[in-house]
Amino acid sequence: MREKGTPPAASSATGEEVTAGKGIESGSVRARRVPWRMMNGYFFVGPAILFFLFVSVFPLLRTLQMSLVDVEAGVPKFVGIRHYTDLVQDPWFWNSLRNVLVFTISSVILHISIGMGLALLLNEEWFNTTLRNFMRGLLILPWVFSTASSGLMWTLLYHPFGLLNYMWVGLLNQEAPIEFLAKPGLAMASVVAVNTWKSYPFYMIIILGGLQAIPAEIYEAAKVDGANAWKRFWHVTLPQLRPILIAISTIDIITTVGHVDLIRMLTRGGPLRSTETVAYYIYKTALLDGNLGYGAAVSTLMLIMLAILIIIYLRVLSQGGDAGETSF
Amino acid sequence: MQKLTRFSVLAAMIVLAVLLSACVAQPESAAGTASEADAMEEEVVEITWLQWWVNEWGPDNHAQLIADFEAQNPNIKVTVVDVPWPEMAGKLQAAAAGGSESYDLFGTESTWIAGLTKQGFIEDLGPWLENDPEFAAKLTPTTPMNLLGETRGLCLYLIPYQFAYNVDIFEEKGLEPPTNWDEFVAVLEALRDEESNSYGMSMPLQDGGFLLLRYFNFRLAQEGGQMLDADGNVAFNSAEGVAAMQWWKDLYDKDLVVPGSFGEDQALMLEFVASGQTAAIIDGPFIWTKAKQIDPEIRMAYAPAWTHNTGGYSWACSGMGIAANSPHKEEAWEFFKYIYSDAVSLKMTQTVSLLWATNAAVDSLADSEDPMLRHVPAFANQDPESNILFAPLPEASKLIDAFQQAFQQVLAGEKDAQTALDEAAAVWQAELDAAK
Repeated sequence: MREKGTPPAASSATGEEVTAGKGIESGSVRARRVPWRMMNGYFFVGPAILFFLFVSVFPLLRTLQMSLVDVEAGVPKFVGIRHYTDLVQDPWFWNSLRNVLVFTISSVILHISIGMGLALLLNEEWFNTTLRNFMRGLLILPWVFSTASSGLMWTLLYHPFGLLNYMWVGLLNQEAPIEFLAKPGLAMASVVAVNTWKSYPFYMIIILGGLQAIPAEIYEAAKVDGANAWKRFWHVTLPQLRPILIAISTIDIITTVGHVDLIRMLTRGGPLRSTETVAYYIYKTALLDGNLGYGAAVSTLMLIMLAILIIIYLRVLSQGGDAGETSF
Repeated sequence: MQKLTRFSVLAAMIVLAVLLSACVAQPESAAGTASEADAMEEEVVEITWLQWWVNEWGPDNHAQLIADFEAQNPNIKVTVVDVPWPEMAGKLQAAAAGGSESYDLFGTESTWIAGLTKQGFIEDLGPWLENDPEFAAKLTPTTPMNLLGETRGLCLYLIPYQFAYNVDIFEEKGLEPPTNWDEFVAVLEALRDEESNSYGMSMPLQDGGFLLLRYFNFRLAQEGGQMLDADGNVAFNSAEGVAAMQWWKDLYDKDLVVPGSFGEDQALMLEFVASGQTAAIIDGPFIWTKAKQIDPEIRMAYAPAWTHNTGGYSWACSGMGIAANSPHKEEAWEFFKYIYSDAVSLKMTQTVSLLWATNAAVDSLADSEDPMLRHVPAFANQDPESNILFAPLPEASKLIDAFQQAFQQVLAGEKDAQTALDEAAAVWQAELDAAK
């Protein structure tokens, strides 16, 4: 029983009641119990911290260390920032940086806009609910394909003897087939198209979830105020989806910049290195050529650039939010 | 006090995690004395062979090869890790970078040797050959894969590149195999049908090593040029090199090969040949075995040896190496001796049309009736001085990339042959000088 006028008992980690604020004895009990209470928290976050240290911090530091080292006959030799100075003068690095910018910007715009368009369609009332559900399943299908099988399938579709050119030459009576993966400009567009086809369902699902969470009352109020469909989209839907759009576009930028598999399957960075992105350049330099130090330097530089890009991106977007809202 | 407590808790957690992982990692050490089964396992040494040949040699054939070795060497068990060829370089380099002890011996291409040597992953086989002169005598002079004076691998099979064709399609169309470069073009013209949009041959240019060995080096050897001169300096930007490059540019412009070459890889090319969509190919003798995996009925043959200015041919090899950090090098070497034995050489040459890099295999071709291999002695011997054998190079991938760039630029009409070759040569020479 708690005496009248005394503070409530605190519960210790062991479940004992600790009476605080009464004489020397209770004070010493508090001094002994507080660290244990704190330890609870450390035990809870400990596994997450350990996991973070092992899977993020350790590889990061290891990559940084590797970038300062060159290996000769299996013996590592410290070379300082030589890899970084070589990198700045490497035209193929700058070529890959230019390519990854084109690849990422076009992919992200297409992912989000196509995902948004289809999500809006699927969010509407359809005359037949079964058909709408069937279409939802159908539109998610490309996401189910593995990147390897998507790459292989599209390689065959794009080929001069493939289905697309069969229709182009055979049905539309064109003279020559389209060399989708063999012309520099077209190859990049073709890779972006496959990446869009493969990834839009993910963004469509997320946006659809966001749309369904918007209260119908807001739309009704907007209608009462005389807002047409476009104004409802611009002034209600987009602001309501803003946090989701910022989150998914950030995720999209990070994942698209890191794509190696799709490019490996479709073009191997060609023709004339026109689809060689930074991630593919790292893969080629470090894993195919065995220049791990140089590859690690490219990775580190790419990480720094990407981090700066994401910070700027989030800052710019968060400036447009409501007062006090940082969005992300 | 609080800081000290936090530090103590974190330290205790890390120690606990390490202890737990140690307990999980070594359950057997806590199990007490070794059982009889463990003792038996210790007697049999397991060697792991990383390679890409199971399908290329045929799974049954390959399994029999391993079974025969294990029967002859009951104390050695061979575990095969089969990786598709396109993934092999990455897998090997990753193992090398991580200092993996997972593999005792592995298949390798000449182009991968430099990277593996750099990582200290590949054993110098020179001393092993010196200690085993009887075995060394069985190998051809071109079998050792030498890089900067050290033998980093042994060619397992030698590969000449020549025009191979689908016998049935040629018979059906009443075509004879070409006996020179002009007839080669004539055959492609005969096979080109604009109405049905069909072509005689595809020419994949997505892989730098592929285009270097099959196209440029082949024509370069027949023009009388070399990739490197006797001092190891770049020589491919010579007049012969320019002529070779220009020849392929002219062919490419004639619309006689399947469009989309820049985006085409070997796998697609193989599909075209095996499915009869194209009737010819320039490749190694193994192409027939590979095509048979897709169409078991396909019949292929090599055209007779060609001569232009010279009778030289482009040669390469796929080989084997031993991991420098393997704990079972002796056993791996035993496997080497088996796989290069006369019995295996002859069997593989006869069954999968691969020219094993041993004297026994080469000698066996004298009376071969194999439609591919029977021509190989002529490729090798009609002008040996003009042959180009693709040897390991320092920074090989970088050099091949530079060459591929040059080749594609010329074919795309972006640069003339001399300019493109000079630029590639500058990259090559810088790397070669650095290696020296």
